[in-house]
Amino acid sequence: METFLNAGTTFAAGSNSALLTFCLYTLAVFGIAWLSNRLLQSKSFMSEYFLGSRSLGVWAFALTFAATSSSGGSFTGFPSKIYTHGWVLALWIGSYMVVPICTMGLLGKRLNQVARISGSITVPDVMRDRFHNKYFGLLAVSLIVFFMSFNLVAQFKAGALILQTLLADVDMFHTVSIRLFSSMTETGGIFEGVKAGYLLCLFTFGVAVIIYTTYGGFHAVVWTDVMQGVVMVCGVMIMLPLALYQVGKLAPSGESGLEYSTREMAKMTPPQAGTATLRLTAARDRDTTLRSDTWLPFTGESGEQRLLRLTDLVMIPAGQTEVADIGILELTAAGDISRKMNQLTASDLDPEIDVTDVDTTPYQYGSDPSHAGAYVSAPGPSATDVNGFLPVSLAISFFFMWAISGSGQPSNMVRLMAFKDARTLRLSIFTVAMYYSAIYFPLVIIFCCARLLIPGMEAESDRIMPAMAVFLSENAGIAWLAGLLVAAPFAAVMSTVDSFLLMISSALVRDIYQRNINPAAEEKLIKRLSYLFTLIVGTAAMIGAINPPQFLQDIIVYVGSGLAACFLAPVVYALYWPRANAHGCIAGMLAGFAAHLSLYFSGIFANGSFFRPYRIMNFDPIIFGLLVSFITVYVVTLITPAPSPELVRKYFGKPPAKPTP
Amino acid sequence: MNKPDMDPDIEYDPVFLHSRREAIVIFCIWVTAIIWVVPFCYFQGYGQNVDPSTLSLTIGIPTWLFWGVFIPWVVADIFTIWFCFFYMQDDPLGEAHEGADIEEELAEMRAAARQTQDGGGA
Repeated sequence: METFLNAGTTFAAGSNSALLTFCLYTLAVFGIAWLSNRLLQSKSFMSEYFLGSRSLGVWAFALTFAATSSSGGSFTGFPSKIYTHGWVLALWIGSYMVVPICTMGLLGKRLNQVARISGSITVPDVMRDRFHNKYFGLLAVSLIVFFMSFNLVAQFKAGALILQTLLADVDMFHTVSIRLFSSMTETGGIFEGVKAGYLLCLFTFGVAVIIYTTYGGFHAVVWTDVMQGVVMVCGVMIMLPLALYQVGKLAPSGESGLEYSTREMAKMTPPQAGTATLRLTAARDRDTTLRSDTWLPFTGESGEQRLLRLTDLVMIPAGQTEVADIGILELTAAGDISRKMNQLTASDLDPEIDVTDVDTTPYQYGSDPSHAGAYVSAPGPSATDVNGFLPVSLAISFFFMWAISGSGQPSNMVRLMAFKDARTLRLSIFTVAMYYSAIYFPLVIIFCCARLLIPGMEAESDRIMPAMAVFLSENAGIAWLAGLLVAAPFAAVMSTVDSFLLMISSALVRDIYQRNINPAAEEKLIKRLSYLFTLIVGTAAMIGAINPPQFLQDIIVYVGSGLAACFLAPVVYALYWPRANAHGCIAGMLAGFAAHLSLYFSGIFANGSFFRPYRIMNFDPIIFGLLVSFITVYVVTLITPAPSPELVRKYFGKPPAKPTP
Repeated sequence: MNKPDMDPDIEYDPVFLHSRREAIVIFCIWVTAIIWVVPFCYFQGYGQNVDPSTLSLTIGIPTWLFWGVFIPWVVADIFTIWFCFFYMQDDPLGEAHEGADIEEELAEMRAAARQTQDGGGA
């Protein structure tokens, strides 16, 4: 028999609705895949399966673009960062004010036109056709497969983790995962050390994504993106007024909720992580289990109220009175302590537990009195960096990272090849701009309010989104709403994974098999191979994510900036410079790849890790990679022969007028 | 309006010329955004020792972020509306030549095979 403390009843009801939402959601996605598959019967298979027959209208194009770009990170990592570092995240995300117009407008119209002229279906197709050079196509496809394979594994893991977070408090989830997978995790091999809950989430998430993507192709991906995009914006639009209203109830009269929230944040000091010893006043005849969200108030040496929470599950075995060195997080701001104490009820507390030997480490930036107000000023508090969360060099880097590097992502470029006409493009730029404005700045406000409403979530800040969703909807008396709100992050990661999956299978079927091995392949064979490769790539990525390498989040960052360093400059020159030639663009692609990679390699010697790259003047490697790539294309192009006039006429010349009948 | 790097003998496609002009305008707006946002926030928001009682707020947002991010964001949205509805052209993007690249490749392969045969025959 065990005694449980803080059974987490707050989140349980919301999590049950999360389970229901997830099931309904998956059913809807399968329905969409079935409808999309019917479209495949009547159109040119390849163009339909990988590019939706270039027929996307405004809503489909805008929302698939927005949903794919705002990956799972937007709904887990970003809220977690806002909660942990405060208002400075508005500056961190600030370049999103120009992201839609840059990522869609810089290349969109021209890329779509060039792809139509050549009949290209993939990005390597465009490069190969534009320069009539099959080696360029092979180089482009190799880089895409290299980068995307890592990314796909990382995104599968991200999806499984998000699902696990959402279902953490559903009893049925734990029962099913233990029954189905505990024997598997005991067999060792690739399952060694993997938790049963993670495996269940990975297989559920993975199988759902693989089936609907394989069966429905591009249109299934786009339509699920539309549904997911709507869920995301609805989630944020509902949370914003609820957060402001609930924080407003704490504010003194005459002061708005947001104003009160920001002023209280100005008084906050960061919590401190560390260890402590827990002691029972008397031994018990049963185990005492304390959940990771257990709060323990105690009195300090000078009589002051202190409050800490556990960061892991703790068990005090029957007959023992003490456990030492347990992970804790202690609140340090008086306002946080008093707000949290007001939320705790008698049933949350165990008066027979004492806390001693508290040993904590202050933040590297933000704990010192000279950094007062770190949550409302820049560079923001940081537990690990003495320069704070966002030094100005990084703020500049993020302007490149989001707006410019976003334009260089092949997954975005594919979508730019799929819209119907120029009118669709300009209306979609407007729609995505409004969409991002409705999501990102409001998210900053919502999760700044979360610091007041739910103190101490730094211990599990990745759970702040579902925790806040459940907190807001239950306090507003509409618990079912939590299901919709927690679906938003899941929707976001699903829409990223499906498009990456399709990109890799299109690279294999179209760019490698059809264009290099068997151009005369019958459509029936291509169709079978497309289904088969999507299935195989998805399954392989899922297996890779069972026990993935460490540093997956770092891999996602490396891949995103690496792809931009390779692709942006060659694509820009290919589209806008008639003098551009294959030599220059191939050299630029390789130079961007090498420059970017060399800074990551230098990180091994300078900072002790590949994933802590060497930063020239503290700027992100993406800036150096882009610079080298743009200069190399220009210089090498000028010292090598000009392209043939026929090729220039084909892609830059005015098309001949259609003969009138 | 031909640039030095452009061949005067070619009549350029208006879609290409419009797209390039639009891309230059977009790049300028990105430069304007970074020049407004980063220096403003650097001088107003970095390294400040904040006194909560005198902290300057505008509609609940720290004033440095209100003028450094929120207002430029609104201006960027207004610019986007102007760009999308009053500047960007509805150019015809042409018919998609589905399979044209594969056909071209097959034709080249057949021609190469014929050449080899002819060469062998001679």
